[in-house]
Amino acid sequence: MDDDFDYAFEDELDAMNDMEEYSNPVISNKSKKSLDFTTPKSATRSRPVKNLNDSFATPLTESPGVGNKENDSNSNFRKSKKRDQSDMFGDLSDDDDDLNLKNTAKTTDSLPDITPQRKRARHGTASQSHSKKPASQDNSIGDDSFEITPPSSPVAVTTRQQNRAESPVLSATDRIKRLQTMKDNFEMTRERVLKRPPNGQFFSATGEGGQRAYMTLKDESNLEKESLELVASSKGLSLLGTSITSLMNTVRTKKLTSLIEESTNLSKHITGEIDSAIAAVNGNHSDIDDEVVEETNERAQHLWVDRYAPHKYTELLSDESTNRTLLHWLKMWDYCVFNKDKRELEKKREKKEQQNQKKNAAKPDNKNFDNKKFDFKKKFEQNDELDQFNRPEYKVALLCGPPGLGKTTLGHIIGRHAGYHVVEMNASDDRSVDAFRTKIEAATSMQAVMGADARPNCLVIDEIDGAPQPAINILLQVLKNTGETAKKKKQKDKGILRRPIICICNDPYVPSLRQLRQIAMVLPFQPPIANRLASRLLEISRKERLKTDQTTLLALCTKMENDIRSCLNTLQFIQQKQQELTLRNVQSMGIGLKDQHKSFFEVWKQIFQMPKAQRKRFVNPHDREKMTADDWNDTQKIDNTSTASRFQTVLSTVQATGDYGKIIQGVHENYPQMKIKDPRLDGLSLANEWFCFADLLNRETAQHQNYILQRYVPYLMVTSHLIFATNHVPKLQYPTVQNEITTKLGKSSHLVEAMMNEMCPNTRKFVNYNMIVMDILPHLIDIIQPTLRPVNTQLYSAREKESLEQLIRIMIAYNLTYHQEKTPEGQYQYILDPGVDEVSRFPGMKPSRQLTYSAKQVIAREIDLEKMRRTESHIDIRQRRAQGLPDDKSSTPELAHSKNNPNAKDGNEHKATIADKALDENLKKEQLPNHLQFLKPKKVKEEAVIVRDFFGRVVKKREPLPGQEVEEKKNLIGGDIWYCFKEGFSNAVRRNVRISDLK
Amino acid sequence: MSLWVDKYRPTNLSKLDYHKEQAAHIKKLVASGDFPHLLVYGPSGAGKKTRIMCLLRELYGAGVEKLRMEHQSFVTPSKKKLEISTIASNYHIEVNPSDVGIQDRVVIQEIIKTVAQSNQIDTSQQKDFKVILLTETDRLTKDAQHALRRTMEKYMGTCRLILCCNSTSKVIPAIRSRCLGIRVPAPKIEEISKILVTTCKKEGLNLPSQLATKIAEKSNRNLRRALLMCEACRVQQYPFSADQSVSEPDWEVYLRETANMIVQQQSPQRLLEVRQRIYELLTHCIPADIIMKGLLKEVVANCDGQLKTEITQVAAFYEHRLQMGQKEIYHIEAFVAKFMSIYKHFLDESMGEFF
Repeated sequence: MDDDFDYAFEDELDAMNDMEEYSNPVISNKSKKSLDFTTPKSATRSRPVKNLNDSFATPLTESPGVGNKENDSNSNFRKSKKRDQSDMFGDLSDDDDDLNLKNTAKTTDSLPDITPQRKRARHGTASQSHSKKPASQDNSIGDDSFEITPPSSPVAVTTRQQNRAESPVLSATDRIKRLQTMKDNFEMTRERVLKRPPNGQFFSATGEGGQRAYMTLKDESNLEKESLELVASSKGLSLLGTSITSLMNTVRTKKLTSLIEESTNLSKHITGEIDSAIAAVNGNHSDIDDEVVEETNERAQHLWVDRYAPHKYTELLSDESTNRTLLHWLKMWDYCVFNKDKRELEKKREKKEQQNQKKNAAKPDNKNFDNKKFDFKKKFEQNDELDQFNRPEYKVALLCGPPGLGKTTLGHIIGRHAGYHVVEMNASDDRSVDAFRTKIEAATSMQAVMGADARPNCLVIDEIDGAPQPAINILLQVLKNTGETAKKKKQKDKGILRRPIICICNDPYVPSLRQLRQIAMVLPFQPPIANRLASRLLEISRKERLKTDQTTLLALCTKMENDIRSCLNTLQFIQQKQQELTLRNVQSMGIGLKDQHKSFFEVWKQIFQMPKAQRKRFVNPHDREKMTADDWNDTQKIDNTSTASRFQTVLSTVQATGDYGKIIQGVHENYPQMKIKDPRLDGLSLANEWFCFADLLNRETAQHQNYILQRYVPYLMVTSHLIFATNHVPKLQYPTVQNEITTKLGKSSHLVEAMMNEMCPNTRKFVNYNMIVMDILPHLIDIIQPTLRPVNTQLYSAREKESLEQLIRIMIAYNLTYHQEKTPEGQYQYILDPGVDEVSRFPGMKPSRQLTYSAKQVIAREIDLEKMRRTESHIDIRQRRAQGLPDDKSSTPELAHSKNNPNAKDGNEHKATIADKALDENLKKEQLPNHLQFLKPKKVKEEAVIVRDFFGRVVKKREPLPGQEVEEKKNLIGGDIWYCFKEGFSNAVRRNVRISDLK
Repeated sequence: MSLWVDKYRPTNLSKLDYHKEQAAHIKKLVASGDFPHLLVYGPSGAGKKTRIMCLLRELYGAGVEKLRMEHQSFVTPSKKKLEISTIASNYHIEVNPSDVGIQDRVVIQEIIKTVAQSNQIDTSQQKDFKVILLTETDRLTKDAQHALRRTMEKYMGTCRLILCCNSTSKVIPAIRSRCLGIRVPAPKIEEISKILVTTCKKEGLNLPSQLATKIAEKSNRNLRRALLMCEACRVQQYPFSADQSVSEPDWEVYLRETANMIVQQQSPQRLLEVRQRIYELLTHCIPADIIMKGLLKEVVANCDGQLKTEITQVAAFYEHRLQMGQKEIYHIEAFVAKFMSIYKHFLDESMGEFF
């Protein structure tokens, strides 16, 4: 109890000590008292462990003697602390066969100098902070200022004020005393009219009666001073018994004393309260966390979240199984990181199996229970296999969960707990590809050699869901590197991940994490149990002297959805403002309400389902205006099934979710399936009116950027809730219809536009989009599918030919054709292109006639031919123009027709095309097209060359006699000599020798 | 130049088949060589465009029929790229600004100004103005219409505007007052059937007058549709028989069936089915106001006389909202739901009286 008190009022005690020191500086050694505060520190160290020992029955126990030992003295404080931790590790190895945590001990063994160093470092800082304080207090004695203790409570401030005020008071009384002595002196001098001459200088006088009197002579300046003082003192003495200054001083001192009294009363009151609270909760809380005491001086500057952050594995509030799983995974790395013997693992496994078998044999009934209890263990038991580099199966752990649950803290603590140096990387760091790569490489392949901290690294990548995809790809690359590719490059072992990586994110379903999710051990983070969190909060608020109770804190936890961080922040905020937190505060306060971001399905479910009757822990602050003061007491009785509260809940949920468009879609697509009693469909039409209203609002917002109107949109959801909510669990579907509709609409309008864009301008000018869709297309599709005889077009009658030609013209005018496509079944089909028939066909209507495959083929061919003919005729016109020939009117059919009257148009047109063809043929004859022209060799004319000799005489060629020539030729042909060139042979001339000739 | 509609379209004012008096007026108007801005309006399939083209031909001669399609692109102030296709001859340009939706103002500003600001080179031989033909003026946004106002006055010297629309109610009065309105009413049924018969004669076909009247009635006094129907009938069956079935567009049939479904049963489930069908219509590019109109027409025809006014009023209300809103389906569905509710009330009341 005393200790508790000491802790709680440490500030005041400090201040009081200082005061004492001031008043009598001799007792300076009293300041050492502050060191006494640290005495129970060692006791607190052991506390959580003990708790754990009691409540969880974990193997992380210690021998009960340790705690006691630690308590006994200051001198072996450090030693005991060291023992404490090493004991923890040691004990782990002793009795944790059941939980497979033996590795911890091995860590410490293999790294003998790591953990102690760490501890030393930590103790170093601790002791530093201790030694600092007395020193600064010593300073304060000289300085007579109070810099060392910044004000943390009003009481401390007042005491200090009092102390400060005291010095002038003291000096004032001194002065009074001095004055009085002076006065006495003066009076004495007045009496000293001596009858005998005194020693020293004197002055003699003779009285009336002739008596002689002597007076001592004094320095004139002295006299002056004395007279002045006399004047001053006589003023105070004049009317009142005491001087006005002294009176004022007394008043001031009185005031101060009353203030001091008040403050002491207050503090006594509070102490009493807290003591009783402590007594009520648990009489056994003689120990208090050390870190609080350590950093009292910085109390006002630190967030509670930091100050009360857990420092050890055992202090973690988060879900035990998650912690275990992560720790277990991290311990699996020991074989790789710390070169632990792999065989031990196998041994242990065997042992465990045996144990399990025994257990199962002993109590077969409990088997299921066991499995359930150690579910997490089972889940990862099969993952105990190590790969070729002694690494666990999963190279990376992915912690995911909502913010404020302590994911980052867990990562850090577990990393440290398992003997790693934690390297953190978060969104505040540069996460470009290069930076990411260097950081990962640095963290996973290097280790600090110099310095105190020579432990291997463990990389914690925080907020990975915000990292860009390329950066995550780098991580994946590192993770997937199995060393095989490295071997090829003759770089042994390089680039293989040999250090654990822990990734932390809020939303594991971010697209960029998709691949990582597959290869990572995904650990969904559960919020801590409300009771546990509340008791921890109670502990903290007791330390911070915030008056509150378990129920209130439970309510707060519920309100915060067990978010540790926001709970603590809220508490700290409240503590700054007031000294206590009551249930009513929690219920009424607007703070601490998180924006509840719910998934769409939850929102829709809330809209379509009646809430279940539930006691409300808190009230939405928006309701506050509507409630009178008396209502506050009844808040617990207000059920959430009343219309008003339903209204508010739906409204706030929808507002918090935000994406109104999607919510409206979901409501719109799901409401007709709700089974509500609405015989006259009034609700239905009302809801629909609201949909229209919301649509108008959206339109207005989009068009004129009137975003203020958006605030009225959520009321649509409220209305639909009030109309459609039922007690059944609604079967909801994700709204996809509208998207489908948009794509479909886009597709069909695209088809129509494609058709329109390439239409013949003369046709195009008379149509527009709607006209095509509504009037032309439905009939056009029928018109372009006439009955065609399935015979060769050559065999068609004149009339049939004409109708075919007309069909071709129609299709060209409307930019339609058929093109061949292969169906998935492998059949070929002719399909209308662009496929506007889809636009005009409706499901359930009688299907229109389809032309046969061959007919479509014929049409497609004819269309191509006709198009070619037309372009040719255009080219002709151009060519003729280029050649300067006059334009033949008949060669531009369209122009020609437009000039003729429409009645005779058709016939003319037909003739014109024929005329065109004839003309074309003529042209072809005259001027062969380029591709038909061949190069013909030029005939070389032989000229009789007259050969002259040197003198200019004509040399007559000696003409051989015809007979001779023939003979020579014959000889040549008849001879067996022939020439043959063969590469690599030198004897190019050969002669056939017959065997018969050789004889 | 191939469908009957296109093939037998008159290209001369004197060759028009009906509203001959009006045609004569237009001819006189053009004969003076100049005319004010025109606002041609009338229902679809009445022959507005035909008359406009006849007018242009009368004005500029055969040159206006040498057409080319141009695809022009613009950049809006918000850096969005727009593309629009125009049909132009040397003398005129035809634009449908509503093709680009709400950005039509930019089109109006850009195209009309560029065309209107350039003068004709040779005014001695040509007319000293060009014609800008704006179609579907009733679908222009208010912004675009306001942009048009000043342009119409400012460039009077170099261009004439011919606006073409179905209804003047959506054209702002400022524009209406700047134009000479020419109303082209839908042809009468007799006129249509006469035209059908003569067209068939030109094709060398024999069309029974009963069938012609039947088609004319089915066509809803839309000449284009009548001619297309007639041609479809020809493809379907020739020689014609008087009692031949005339095929209607699928969407009309579908819409009618949908309307009947609403009258048959009123329940949320039915509403869902109806919604599916309306979605189907919308995805087939049928405009929402046409759907609304079609539904109302069928529904009113099938319900009790007492309800007719009420339902029409409700339909008008939702149609107005439809024009103002963004997502058509909500408004159409709201109308359907409202009708269901009204009808259900009516049935309950009349049943109550009955029992």
